[in-house]
Amino acid sequence: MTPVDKIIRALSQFEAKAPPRLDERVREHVYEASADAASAPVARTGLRPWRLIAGSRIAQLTAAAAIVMAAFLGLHMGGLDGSEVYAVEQTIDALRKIETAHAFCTGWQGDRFEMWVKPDPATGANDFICLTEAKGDSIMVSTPSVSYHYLPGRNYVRITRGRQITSDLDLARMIESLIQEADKTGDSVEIGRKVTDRHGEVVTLRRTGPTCESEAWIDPRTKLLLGLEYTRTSEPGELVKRMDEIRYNEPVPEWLLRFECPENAAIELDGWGDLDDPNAGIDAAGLNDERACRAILTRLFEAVNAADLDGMRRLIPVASQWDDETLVSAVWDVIGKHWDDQTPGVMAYEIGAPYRDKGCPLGVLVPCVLTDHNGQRFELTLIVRFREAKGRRTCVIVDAWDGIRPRLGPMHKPQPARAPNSPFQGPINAAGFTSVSTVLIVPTNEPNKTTEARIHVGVQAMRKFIKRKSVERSVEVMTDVEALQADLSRSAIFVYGTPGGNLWLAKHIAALPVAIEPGRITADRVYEGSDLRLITAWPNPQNPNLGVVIYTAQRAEDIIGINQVFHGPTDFLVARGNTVKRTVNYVKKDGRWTFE
Amino acid sequence: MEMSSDRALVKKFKGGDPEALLAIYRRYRDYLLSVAMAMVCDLDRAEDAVHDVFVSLAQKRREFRFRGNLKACLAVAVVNRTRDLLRRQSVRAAAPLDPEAEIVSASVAPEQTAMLNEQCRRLAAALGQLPPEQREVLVLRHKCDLPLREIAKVQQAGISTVHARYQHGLNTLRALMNGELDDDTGR
Repeated sequence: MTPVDKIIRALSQFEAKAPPRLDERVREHVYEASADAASAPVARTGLRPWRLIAGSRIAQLTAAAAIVMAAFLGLHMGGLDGSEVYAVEQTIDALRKIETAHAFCTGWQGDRFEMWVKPDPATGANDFICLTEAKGDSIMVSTPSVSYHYLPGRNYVRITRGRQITSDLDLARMIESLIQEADKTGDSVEIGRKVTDRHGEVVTLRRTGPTCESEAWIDPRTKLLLGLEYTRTSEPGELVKRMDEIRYNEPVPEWLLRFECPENAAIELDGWGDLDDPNAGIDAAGLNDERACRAILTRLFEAVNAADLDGMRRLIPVASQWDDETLVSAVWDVIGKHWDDQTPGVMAYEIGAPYRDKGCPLGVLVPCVLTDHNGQRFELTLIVRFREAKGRRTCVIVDAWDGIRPRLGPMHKPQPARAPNSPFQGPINAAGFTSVSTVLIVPTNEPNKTTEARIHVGVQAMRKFIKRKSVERSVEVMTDVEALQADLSRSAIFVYGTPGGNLWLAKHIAALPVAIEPGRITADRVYEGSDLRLITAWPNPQNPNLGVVIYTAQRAEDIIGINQVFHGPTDFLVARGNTVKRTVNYVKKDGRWTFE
Repeated sequence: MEMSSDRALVKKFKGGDPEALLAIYRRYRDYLLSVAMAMVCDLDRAEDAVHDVFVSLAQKRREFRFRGNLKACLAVAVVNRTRDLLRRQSVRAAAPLDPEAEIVSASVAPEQTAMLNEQCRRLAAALGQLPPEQREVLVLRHKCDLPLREIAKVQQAGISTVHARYQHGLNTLRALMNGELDDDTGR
C-alpha cells in the first residue's frame, strides 16, 4: 500500500463519536427553533434591488460588484419615483440573459467598426469578441483560448494565446461594471430620463467624473441597453466613443466564429512562451519528424507520470511562465478529466504519426491514444513545432490541439482592404487611419544638426509608438530627400520639420493657406511670436483620399516634442510650447481647403 | 422509531415535525461530527458546527431543499459552517488572548484526545496544518465521497483549481505524516 493510499484510507476511516452533551444541546435548540419558525410570519417578497443580483450566477463570481450595485440602488431609491431604478434593475437582469450582441460603434478617431460579443452564460464575461473595421482591413477575433488579428491587406495573422482584445467592458454586466468603476473613482452616477433623436424616450444612467463622462441609454420597454456614449473631458475638444446601436441575439455569422489562417499568410505567434529558446525542447538532429515527435512526447508522458514539473517546462515553453499550481491545473485541463483522482498520470500511451493540418499554423499535429488507470482509452492531439536553435534542429511542444481546435476552422475569407474612395476630409487624427501604411518624413536640411538629430530620435520613437499601438500598421521613416523621390500615393504621411529644414515640406507648403515667418505665422489670422508651433492636416498631394499631418514650427528646436501638444479632433492648430493658442477647421469646398 | 427513508424524514420535518429532524440528526451525527472534526481539528468547534447546522435547518425548514443524497448534503452544510467558524477564528486571532479562555481550552484537550484513536489524532494534527481550502477538498473527497466536480461547485472554484488543491493537499499530508501511518489502518 502506497503512502497516499494509507492517507486516503485513514481519511475515510477518520471517525469521532458524538458525545451525549451534543445530543442534548441539539434537541433543546431544535425544538426552540422549530417553535420560533412556526410562529414567524412568512417573509413578503417585495421590490428589493439586490434580489436579482443575489440570484444570479454572475453575481456569485462578482460579489463585490453586486454589493456596490445594491448599495448604489439603495441610495438612490429615495430620490426617485422608483420606475427608473426599476428599469436599471431590470436591465441588469435582461443583459444577463442575452446570447449575443451586435454593436455598431464609433471610435475615438471617428472610425467605424462593428463588434460581436457572445457572453459566457456562467460568468457574464465576454466569451467571444470579434471586431471588424468598417473598411474590412482588419479583423480581430478573440476567444478565451486564442486570439487572431488578421490583416487581409498584408495577408498577416498574429495569433495570441488567450484573450488578446479588446473590449474593456463585459456587455452582459456592463451596468455593474459602470457602477463599480464609478465607485472606485468616486464619480457620481445618476439615473434619469430623456428623449433622444435616435432612440426616443430612454432611461439614462449617467456617470460624471473629472476626466470623463458616460451615459448609457436604456429602453424603458425592453429594459435592454440601447447604446452608450463615453466622452473624455480632460482634454480640449470633444473626444467621444460611442456604441450607436446594439442588436441582441442575432446569430453570429459562422465565418466569424471559425477562423482559419489563409494560405501563405505571414504568421506571428505570441504568448506560447519563447518558442525559439534554445534550451527548450529536445534535439531532433538526425531524426525524421515522426521519430522526433515520438521522442519528445515520450519524454512528456514520462514527466507527467513522474510529476516532474520542471521536465514538462523544458518541453513546453509556455509552461515555463507558469507556477506549479498553474501548470498542474493546465495539465489537468488537458488530460486530468481522465485521471483517477488518486493516481494521476497515464498507464499507457501510443504515439501516432504526425500530420499537418491547414487549420493549425502552430506546428505538426501528433495524435496520441492514452490509457488511464481505469483502462479507459482516450485521444489527445498535441502540437509539436520544429525549429532551428543553436544551428541544430530541435522541437518543442506548443500546446494541446484539442483546446484550441474548436476555435479554428474554415473561415470565410474577408474582402481585401480597399483604399478610401472619397477625399480626405480631416481632422488631424483621422489622417493616420486613411491607410495601413504610414510614412514619417524627417528633415535633412535643418541648420542645427544636433537639433535635427534629436528630431530624428523623436520621430523614431513615434514610429515605435504607432507600431506598438497598432501592430497591423506598416510604419516607415524616410528622409525628405527619399520622400521626394518615393511614391507615397498609398501612404498616410506625417511630416516633421521647419519649412526650410524639411525639403518635402518646402515643396508642398506653398499649397497651404499658411505663411510661416520668423516673427509671425499668418493663417486664419496673424499669430505674433517667434516660438510658435503649427500642426495641420492636409490631403496627400499624390492621393487626395489619404491624409497628411504636418508638424512644423518657426524654429527647429520647437519640433522636438511637438507630439506632446494636444491635437487631433480639429484640422489645424497653433501652439506655444504645449499650450494650444487656437484650433481651426478648414472650409472644404470643391477640393480646396481654406480658412474662409 | 421506525426506520424511515431520508426523503420521508425530510418530508415530515418540512411538515413541521421536529422529531423527524432529530431522527436525521441521530442517523448522521457521528459521521457529521467526524467531518467537522477533520475540518476544524477541535471537538468544541466541531460540535458547534453540527449543532448550528441542525438549528439552522429547524429555523429554515420551509426553504430547505435537497437533491440526491441527504448525507452528502448535510456534510456539505457542515463543511460550509466550519468554514465560517474558521474564518471567524482567523479574525479573532488578532484580538488579545484571553488567559481564561486558554485554560478552558487546555482543559478539554484530554477529552478530545480520548474521542479519537492515535491514528486519527495524528491525522487530525496533520490536517490542521493544511490550508483550509486543501483540507476541505480532501475531507469532501474522502470523507464525504464527493467527486471533484461536486467539490468545485461547493468551493465555487474551477475543477482544475480543485484538482490542484487536492494534489497539493495530498502531497503535503504525505510529507507531514511521513510514514506515521500503519498499513493495517484500524480504529
